[in-house]
Amino acid sequence: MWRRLLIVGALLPLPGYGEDVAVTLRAIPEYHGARSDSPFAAADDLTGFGRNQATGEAELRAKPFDVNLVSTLRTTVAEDSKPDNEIILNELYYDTQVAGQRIGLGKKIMSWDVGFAFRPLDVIQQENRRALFTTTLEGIPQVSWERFGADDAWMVVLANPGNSSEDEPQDDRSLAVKYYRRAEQTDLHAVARISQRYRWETGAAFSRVTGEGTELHASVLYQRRYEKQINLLAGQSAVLLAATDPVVTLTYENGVKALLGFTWTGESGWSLLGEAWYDDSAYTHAQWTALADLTRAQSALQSMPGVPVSAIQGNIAWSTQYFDQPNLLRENLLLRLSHRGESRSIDPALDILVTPEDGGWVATASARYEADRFRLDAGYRSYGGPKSAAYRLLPEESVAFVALQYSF
Amino acid sequence: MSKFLSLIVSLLLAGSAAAADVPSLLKAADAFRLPADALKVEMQVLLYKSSALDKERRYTVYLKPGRRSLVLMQSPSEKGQKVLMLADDFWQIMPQSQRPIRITALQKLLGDASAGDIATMSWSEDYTGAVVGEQNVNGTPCLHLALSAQRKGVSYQRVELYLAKADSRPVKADLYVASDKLAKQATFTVEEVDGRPQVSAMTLTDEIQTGRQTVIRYLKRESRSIADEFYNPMFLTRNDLKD
Repeated sequence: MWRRLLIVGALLPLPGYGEDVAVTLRAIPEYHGARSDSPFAAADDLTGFGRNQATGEAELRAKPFDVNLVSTLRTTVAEDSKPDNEIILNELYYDTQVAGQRIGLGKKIMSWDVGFAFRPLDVIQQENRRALFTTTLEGIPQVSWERFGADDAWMVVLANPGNSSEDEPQDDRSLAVKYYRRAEQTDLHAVARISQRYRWETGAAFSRVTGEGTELHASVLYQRRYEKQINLLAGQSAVLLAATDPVVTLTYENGVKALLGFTWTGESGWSLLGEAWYDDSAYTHAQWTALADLTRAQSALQSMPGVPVSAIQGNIAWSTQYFDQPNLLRENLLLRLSHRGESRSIDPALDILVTPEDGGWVATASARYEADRFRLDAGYRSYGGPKSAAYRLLPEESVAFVALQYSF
Repeated sequence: MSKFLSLIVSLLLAGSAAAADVPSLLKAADAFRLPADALKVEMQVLLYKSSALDKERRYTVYLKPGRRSLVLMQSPSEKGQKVLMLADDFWQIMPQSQRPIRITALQKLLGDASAGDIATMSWSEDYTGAVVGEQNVNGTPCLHLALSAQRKGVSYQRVELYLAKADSRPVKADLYVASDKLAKQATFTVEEVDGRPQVSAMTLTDEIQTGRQTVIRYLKRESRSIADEFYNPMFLTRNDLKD
C-alpha cells in the first residue's frame, strides 16, 4: 500500500497535467438485511453477511506527461469492524508508438467481452458483475503490442509478466491474443489465452446492430481447464466437521462459458436488456443441495454436548466461500428495463436475474438522478426463490444502497 | 389553359434547378461550421432549463472526411468517455470498464446533448432535398430547404433548413426524428472568426420537453488530421492521442 501511495504522491505535484485532472468523491452507504432462516446464518459473526457498511472513495483521474493515471483512496466501514483503508492504483500506463508499432506498458483495464451481466471473453480482466454500484475496475499489469487496420485490429498481451501462477486467477501470468474485425453492422472478436492454471482458452463473440434501436450480442469461451471451490465434506455424512478449511480448488477439464443477449432502445428513452448465459465453472443445484444439507447437519451439532460452537461456526463460514463465485449457478437469465432522460430527471431501472435450475432470483430496483457535477443513485436488491435455491440460501435477504457522487 | 400549363412547366423547371443547387448550397452552409476537411474542434455545451444554466460540458471532437468523428468528453464527471462515429456505426467507451461497445442510433440520441448534435457538423454528406421556398427568418431573407436523410443512422431523418440568400450561412433548422416528430429547433450565431464569418454557436431548443435549451459554442477550430488508426473502434482503449 505504501509503495502505491508513494507512486501516486510523487506524481501529483508534477507539472504537465494541464486540464487533464478530474477528481470524483463517492459515498456509498449499504443497508444489509440478514436472513435468519438461512442455514449459513449461524456463521454471520465470522462472515460479515447481514452487516451494514459504508464506503467512501476519492478517485483521481489524470494524465501527467501522457501517462494515464487513475487511483482511488477507499475507506470501508462495516458494522462492528475497524475501518479498512486502501489505496488502489486502478491504472498507470503509457501507450506509445515505437518504430511504427503500437506498444502499451503498465497497469491497464482490459475488458474484452460484449456482454453486460456476464463476460466470458474477459479472460484477462475478471470482475464482479453482480456489484450493486459499479466503480472503476482495477487494471492488470501488462505489456502489449497492437496493430490496427482499416476494419480490423490485432492485440498481443503479456499479462502480469512478473508473476507465475498466483492465488487469484486475475493475478496469473498469461499470454493472450485478441483479434477484432468490423463487418458492416457487426463487430467480431476472437480471443486465445495460455496460462498455467487453465492451460489454453479460446473464444469468440459478436455484436450486431440490427435496427435503429436494437442490438444482438453473443460470446462463447472454451477452457481446457477450469476450477471450482468444493467443500470436501459435502455429499457424505461420515465426517461433519474439519479442523482446517475443507473448501479446496478442484480442477475440471473442457469447460464452456456462453452468453446470448439483446438490447432495445426506444425514442422515449426506455431500454430493455435481455441476456441468457451458461457457466460450467459455476455450481449445479445438486452441489448447492449437498452443501446446504452439510450445513444443516453441522448446525444440528450445536445441541450436542462437547462440540465447540466455534468449530461449527468456522466450518459454516468456510462453506460460504461458495457465494464468492461470479455466477452461483450454471444457467442464468437476466432482464433489465431502464430509462434515460434529460438532465435532472429521475431515471428508474428494474432488473431481475433468474436461475432456472433451482428457481432462485435476484430483483433490483434502482433510480438515478444527475445534475451538473452531482449524481445520486439509490436502489434496493432482494434475494429469493424456493428454500433450496442458492439465492434463497444466501444469509442475506436484501440490500439497500445509496451512492452519492460529486466530480470536480 | 396554356397559361396554366406554362406555369406548371416553369414551376417544374424552377424546382429541378433548385434541386440541382442543393448540394452546393449545403456545402456552402457546411463551410460556416467546417472550415477544413479534417478538424479538431473544442466545444462548450451549455444546457439550460427554464432559462437557468443547468449543466456545462466540454468536448474535443476530431472530424475527418468519410463521416468519421471521434468525441472525447472533457468535463470532470465524464472524463475518459469517448464516442466514435463511422458513418452509421457508433461505439462508446466508459472509463470504468474500458471496453468499446456498439451503440444503436437511438442510444446515441440519449442524454442531454446527443453525440449526434456534437459530432455531426455536415449536412452535405448526410442529406438531400430541394429548395421549397423563401422566407424571412428574424429579418434575414432565407432560402427554405426541405432535406431528408440519405441514411438511417443520421440523428434527424428530416430537416427544414433555412439558409441566408446572401451567402448561404445557416440561420435556422427544424430537426425531425424518425417518427417525424419535431425534436429540436436549431438557430445559428455567425461571427467573424480568424478573418472569416463562421458559426460560433448553435442553439438547440427542445421541442419535445419544453423549457430546455442547449447552446453549443465552438470555442476553437484548428485544421488537424489524425491517423486513420484513431478511428478504429479498438483504438478507443488506447491513450496515445497527444494534444
